[in-house]
Amino acid sequence: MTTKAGNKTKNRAPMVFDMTSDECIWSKAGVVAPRLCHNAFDCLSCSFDKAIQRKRVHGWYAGGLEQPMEEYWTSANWQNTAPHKRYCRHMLTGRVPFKLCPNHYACAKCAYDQMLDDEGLAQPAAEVRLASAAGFEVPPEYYLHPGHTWARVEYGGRVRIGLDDLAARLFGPADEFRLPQLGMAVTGGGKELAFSRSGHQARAASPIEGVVVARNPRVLENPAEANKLPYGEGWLLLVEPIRLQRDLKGMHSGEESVAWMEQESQRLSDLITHDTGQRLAATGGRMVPDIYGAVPGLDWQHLVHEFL
Amino acid sequence: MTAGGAPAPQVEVVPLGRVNSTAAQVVAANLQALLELDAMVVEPWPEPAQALVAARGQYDAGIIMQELATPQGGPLRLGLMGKDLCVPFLTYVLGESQLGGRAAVMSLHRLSEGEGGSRAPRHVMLERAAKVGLHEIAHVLGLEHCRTAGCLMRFSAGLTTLDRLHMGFCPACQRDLTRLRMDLPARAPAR
Repeated sequence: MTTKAGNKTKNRAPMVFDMTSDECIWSKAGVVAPRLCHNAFDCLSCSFDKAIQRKRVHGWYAGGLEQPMEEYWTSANWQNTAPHKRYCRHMLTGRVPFKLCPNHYACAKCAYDQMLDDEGLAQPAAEVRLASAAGFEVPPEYYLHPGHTWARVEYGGRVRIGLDDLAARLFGPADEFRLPQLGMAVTGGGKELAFSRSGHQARAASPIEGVVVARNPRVLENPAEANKLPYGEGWLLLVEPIRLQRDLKGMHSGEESVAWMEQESQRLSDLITHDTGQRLAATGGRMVPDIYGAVPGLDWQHLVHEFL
Repeated sequence: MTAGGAPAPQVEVVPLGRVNSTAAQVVAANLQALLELDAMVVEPWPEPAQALVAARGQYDAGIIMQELATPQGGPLRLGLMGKDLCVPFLTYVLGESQLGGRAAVMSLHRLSEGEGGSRAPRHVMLERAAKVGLHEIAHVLGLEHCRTAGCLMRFSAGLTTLDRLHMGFCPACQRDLTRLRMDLPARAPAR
């Protein structure tokens, strides 16, 4: 099940946010043996999907014949497949309640598929489950980058990215975000997410390499939004990833992300109390929403260097 | 202050201003029962006005701990306040400690909160106080936060998570505590 939190970076399949199924559409349709989706239902960039569309059908399907796909669709094997099993990939992923495929799973040519994908870019963020980690919040179903940004793999393999709770609270409400334009490439780990506050500049890393396909207009108009709900309405970009599996390997998810954030919280506490020469440990409470504004004497550049 | 020439305690529980005396005794007793530290409630100190953060209506735990910390060789000190505590970067703290240091401070202010704005039963408040006291003094001994479910050294963001903790330490923390306690006689000799 893809919605369960866990460290799926160790497996091939990425953890997909808010997804109800992880079975490959070809498997669900009975064309191939049972198989999991390893590409977040981004069929258009799936090598397995391409292989099926391009090559001849081998002995996977009932009958063991070998024939080109175009012949397969008219074959008895497909014709005998109960029509109610020819589910559209958008139904299989729970995105629409019911839709059958009239198009032999040629998603790249399907107008319905295109329409839903376009709609998806503007969808509001779904409700996010949060865990507590030493005063900060962590979404176990997200991937957290060591540079305090997050990546959420969504339907269709797109990745939503933003600042994590530590970055949001540490640097406080920004005056401005300067984000890459639509169609621009971002590099995994590249410092392309720029923001500023009272003349101080900071650049955070994009956790994913890819192409920008959406920017959050709310944050661009009102930058403080990223500080209020960093894992929800305060997201920054939606990216079409290029090497998703590779990029996810270096990130934290599930319980591991909670443990990592607790370490980061202690590291921050040590940094803040460094002047006293005595390490401190607190119990209870949440981090204030604007640590930089609340703690006198913090060095902005030092915080950027240490945490972004 | 020790009574009748008795050896100095290893931990002094110091009421800061007006504090529920039963809670202070419960905290000291649990330090003795579960951490095997000689603990005693001493004469109250005045409320630390210098630590008041007026804008927040809370007291700065860091400033209080600096006042409490004894020189090497003296007893460890756990300050106990009825008022709410904070540090600059946290909205509030139930307790704050010097890791491997000399002092900690905790607050009873929020420990009486029950569900839906009600008041928690007295025994619940006292159990919470004991847990926070044990947690903070274990920090002072040098123990860091632990991720084991139910262990007293887990970070508690609030009362719900605090209530889920057992009144005890996981085996790994218990082992570390045994080792850390062995250092203590040298740190807090009888006076």
